[in-house]
Amino acid sequence: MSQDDFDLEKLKLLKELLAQRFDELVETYLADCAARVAAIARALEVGDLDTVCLQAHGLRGSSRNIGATAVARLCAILEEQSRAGSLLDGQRQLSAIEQGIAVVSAILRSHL
Amino acid sequence: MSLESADSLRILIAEDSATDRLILETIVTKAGHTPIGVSDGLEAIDAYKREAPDLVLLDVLMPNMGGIDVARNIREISREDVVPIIFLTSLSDQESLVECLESGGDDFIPKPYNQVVLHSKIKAFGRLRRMHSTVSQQKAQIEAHNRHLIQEQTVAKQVFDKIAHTGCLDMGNIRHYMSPLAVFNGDVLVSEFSPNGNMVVMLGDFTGHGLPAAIGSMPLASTFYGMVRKGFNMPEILREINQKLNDILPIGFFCCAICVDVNFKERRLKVWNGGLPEAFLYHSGERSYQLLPSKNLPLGVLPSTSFSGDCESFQLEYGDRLFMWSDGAFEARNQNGEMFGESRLHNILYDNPGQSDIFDLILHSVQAHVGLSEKDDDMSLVEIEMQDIDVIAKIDHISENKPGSLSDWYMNFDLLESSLKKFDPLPLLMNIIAEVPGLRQHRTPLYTILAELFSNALEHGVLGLSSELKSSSNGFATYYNERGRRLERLDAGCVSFELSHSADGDGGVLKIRVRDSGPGFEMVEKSVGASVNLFGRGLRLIDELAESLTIHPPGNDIEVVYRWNHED
Repeated sequence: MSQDDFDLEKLKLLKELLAQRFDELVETYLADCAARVAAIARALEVGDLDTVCLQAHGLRGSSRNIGATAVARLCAILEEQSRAGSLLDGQRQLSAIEQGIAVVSAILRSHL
Repeated sequence: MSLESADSLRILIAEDSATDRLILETIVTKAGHTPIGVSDGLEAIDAYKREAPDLVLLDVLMPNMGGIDVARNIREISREDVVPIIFLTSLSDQESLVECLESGGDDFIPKPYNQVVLHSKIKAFGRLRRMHSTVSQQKAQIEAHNRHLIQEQTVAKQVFDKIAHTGCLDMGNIRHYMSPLAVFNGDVLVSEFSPNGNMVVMLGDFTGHGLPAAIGSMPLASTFYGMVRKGFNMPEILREINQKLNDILPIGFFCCAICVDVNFKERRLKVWNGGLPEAFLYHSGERSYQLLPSKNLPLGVLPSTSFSGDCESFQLEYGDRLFMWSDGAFEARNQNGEMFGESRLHNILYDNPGQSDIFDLILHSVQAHVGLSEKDDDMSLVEIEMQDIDVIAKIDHISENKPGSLSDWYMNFDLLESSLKKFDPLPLLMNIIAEVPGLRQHRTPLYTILAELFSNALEHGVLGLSSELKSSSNGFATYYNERGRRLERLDAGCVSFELSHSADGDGGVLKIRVRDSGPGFEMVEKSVGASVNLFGRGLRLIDELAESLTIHPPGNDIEVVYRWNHED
């Protein structure tokens, strides 16, 4: 992961802002990620692109807010493609997102 | 703390991403506001209704209901109340920005959130929100004040109507028109019978409009009714009203008024006009009008010392009519602002002499002139016809059965020379008599009896006037001139009233004995009986009204017994 892939500056600001509630933010984020990833997986199975788009959008937003720039970028592609109805290998994209989240998770936990 | 809490806003945050919501809630809390977090559109609407927030932050894409629909719903729910809505948008929402604004959004905050931007926007919209609350509070206050004002005016009008409409305006010989809100145009019309059966009518026009103009009509009406009913004469009533108004009204506020006293039996009209347009007196015999212009200053202008309530007296025939109006009649304007004009009003009268529908002609002409222009006319118009009315039968027969009122009593009341010159004892005596339940209904005959006894005692007894003076053609004038002269010079004299009342069966017996300091005189008139000379009329009238009339020698001591029963 490069410097561009995670915005440590943003993370620092968030930690400052949230103080004691930073732990809660991290847990909330990770739980949210898990829920959205599961939802995207289910939607991909049945070809429900609207749900894929909505969940990818949500995941992108919260990832960007927490500084997970790389994950946000991946989500944006998935969101755009599913909105346009031209999804290319959604499963693989989802895998990439999951890996990204795993990396982010490690970074976040190291800041707790 | 107080400042902080005053600036503190309740902010609804509708955001489906839990992390974003947590970040937003934290930012909002740190800024001193209270966050209300929800995770979808339907929850947002519920929370909006339940919590009535000051500001709404809406995510565009949310499950169940998107932000745009939520915004539409909120605007639908609260049309009057302006609660700012800020959309939370990401880059991909750009295309829906226009839709966001059209749905009722006020601004955007782009994701990812920038604390500084978010702070300043919340601050700005907080100000907007407070401004709207202030405006709508003030609007509600103004509405409440307005409702209050109208309510007060309604109450004032009801109070006034109660005071003003107890009179005798419903008598068949009076026609009158007052615009619906006349009391707030400062116009007032009152009328009442005096105990001697005369009808007294007053038309007044206060300066100004609205409540200040209406206020003066209260003391005017209550003084008028109180004094007319007690038998005060017109100059005394005018003097009292003038003084009341002079005391209570600010400088520059006064009442133009015309007051008339109609004696139906003798077909005599007395008029006092202070500041109102000239009244028109129609003589049916000559088919001509006599104009009665104002010869006095309006009521409330002069101090009592320089006020004169002197009236002009006119001998009328049955069928003669008096027209009077306030200047609102010819100041009525049409849509172009042109006044109806005094000459137009006069022409109607001159073109239709003696026509019975002149009143309606005037009314319709003025109303046609005003047409559909916004302003209501504030015309007051009155017509009084001299008719052969059996007044006594018409006077209200209100019996006041007050507990603890007078029943058996005796009084002696002596008037000495200084009082004889100035004081009219009749209202005072009538007041006492009216305290006896049931006797009040007999006030007309009793007033006549007392008036005749008093003038007999004063004029023939104390002043020594010979009633033969009256018998020549201009005898009355000579008589009254002489009466005035002698009263002026009087330096010793007395008239004593002795009244006693005892209850008897369903009514009672009132004994009235009037003595004077004069030498007494031969009472030839009583024995002559039916002779038709005017000077004898007084005592014969008493004889007809009372149970008995006794003249004690040497003729300066007359006793009358009046027996009465409750009338049902």
